[in-house]
Amino acid sequence: MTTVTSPTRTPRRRKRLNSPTGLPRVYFVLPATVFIFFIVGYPMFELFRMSFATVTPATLLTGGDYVGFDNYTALFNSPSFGDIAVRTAVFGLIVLLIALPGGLAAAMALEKRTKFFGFTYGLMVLMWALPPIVNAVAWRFIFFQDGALNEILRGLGIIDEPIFFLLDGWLPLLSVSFVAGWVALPFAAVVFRAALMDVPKEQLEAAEVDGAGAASRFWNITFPSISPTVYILSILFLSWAVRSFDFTFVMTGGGPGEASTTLPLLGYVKAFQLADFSGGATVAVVTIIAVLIFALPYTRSLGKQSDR
Amino acid sequence: MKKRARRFRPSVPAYIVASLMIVLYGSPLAFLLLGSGQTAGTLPSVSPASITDYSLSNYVDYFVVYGNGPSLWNSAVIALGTTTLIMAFGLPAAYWLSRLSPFASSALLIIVVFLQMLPQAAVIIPLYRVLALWGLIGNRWGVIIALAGSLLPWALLLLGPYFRSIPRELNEASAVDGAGGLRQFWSIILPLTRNGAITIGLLTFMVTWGDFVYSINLLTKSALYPASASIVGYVNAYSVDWPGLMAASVITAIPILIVFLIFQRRLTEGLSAGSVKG
Repeated sequence: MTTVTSPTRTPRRRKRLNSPTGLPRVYFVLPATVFIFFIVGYPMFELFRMSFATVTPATLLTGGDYVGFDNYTALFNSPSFGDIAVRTAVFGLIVLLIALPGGLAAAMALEKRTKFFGFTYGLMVLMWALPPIVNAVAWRFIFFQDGALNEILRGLGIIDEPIFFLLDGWLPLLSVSFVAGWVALPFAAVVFRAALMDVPKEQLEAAEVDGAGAASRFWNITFPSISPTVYILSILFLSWAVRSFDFTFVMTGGGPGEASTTLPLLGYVKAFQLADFSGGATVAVVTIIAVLIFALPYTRSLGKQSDR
Repeated sequence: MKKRARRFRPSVPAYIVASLMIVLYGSPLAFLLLGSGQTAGTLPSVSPASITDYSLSNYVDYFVVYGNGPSLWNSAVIALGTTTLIMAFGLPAAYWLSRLSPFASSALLIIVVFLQMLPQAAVIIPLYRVLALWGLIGNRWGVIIALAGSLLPWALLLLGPYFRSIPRELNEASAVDGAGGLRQFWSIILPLTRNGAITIGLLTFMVTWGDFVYSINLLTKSALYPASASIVGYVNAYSVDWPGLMAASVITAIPILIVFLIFQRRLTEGLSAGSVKG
């Protein structure tokens, strides 16, 4: 199968392009590395620098003056920072509480591929895959004071006055978190569906023969087998709460006031709506540190999975 | 598996969960379709009686009155441009990463995971300044390279399993046969990972089609906005034209719907393989 070329050329070429084992040389990864360096790496450096300076639209191109830790002390001393941190945690926990049990229940219920179950599963994954803005519009209409949910609740005679889901107290945060959990649930179902295939079927059948109930089979056989998946998904969803804000942005804009503002949205709002680039950068650095806490265990469990 | 499937009769709880899911995931879509056919500027009703005066005029107005056709073109340019860039950089890089020693690859994995988890705002705030320095604000290329840069680590993670499943012996064998690095990649490795490449390419396309955060901040003229970004303007308008907004949402969703219906199985498999199995 060796290609016939001039004997003087082949060895030289092979030496230059190819290591003896045929493994790819570093030029395969060079374009991606350079690209990520310029588009993500260098901007990260800029982000840290901006968080120690005062950058406003006027000083955006020149860079602003160095102010040390002023931006950080201002952020941590601002009266709303604690509330926003709590809201971010609540958001993340609600996403977990909806997406994990819901996704597992859906994956188990839809495990058998009948037509009806297949359609249900397909519909769920489709809604997950739709552009976030489309889902956010639909849910904003559902939760809107004159929207679908209030119309249905009134039609059923459950309420007389509309509920202000997107305006009243904790409801905006809860509504937005619910939607984030709703969109995360099909993703969890997809991942759980794959994990459920690795649950030892013989053990389940043996336990059933021995008279173990459904709950006992679940907690003693199924759950231990899928617990690594539960762990990974928990990290993913919690980190998602700290880094993403598109549903909140479209449904409530973080409001009313800051009633549904979470940390990632705060950084965005400061930078692009209040034109306080340094304030936004400071919040972003704080969220990066929070995300780092999640990234390490996630990497370790990914490594463990690929060893199997 | 087959044996069980034959014996299996779906249980009552399974039907309850499935029905609940149908309601939870069907109703938002149903409301969008229902509302988008009602008179522009009115408040849509979801009662069955509202179906009587259903019309497609909001869909027509989207193109004719509001002239939103170009925004779909903008979406296509941004999504296809980003996907092409990510594949061009990502495929060789993912291949290279898959051939590293376990120690080196787990060290690099930490960096990739960290980059993939970076908060949106953390990327876009400094990038705004950097792109401004480079004169790329208000330019579709700015959005494309910003999206490609921030999604490339994610694509690398998802592509990893496909490349790792190819045994290293194949490299040795083809090196003995005299295939150079690039040729090996192009005519041996890539054909074997074609499925994975297509799956991750499709996922990238779908994610970038839906982006609005990068677009509304890095583009200055709304004429350049992709479809999803132009909806944001609608939503935050002082008085919302719900039926028009819903028609715009459905139109924005249609390309994703088509891609999804064609490639459904492939997408769900790629998703579960990449996210957890590493």
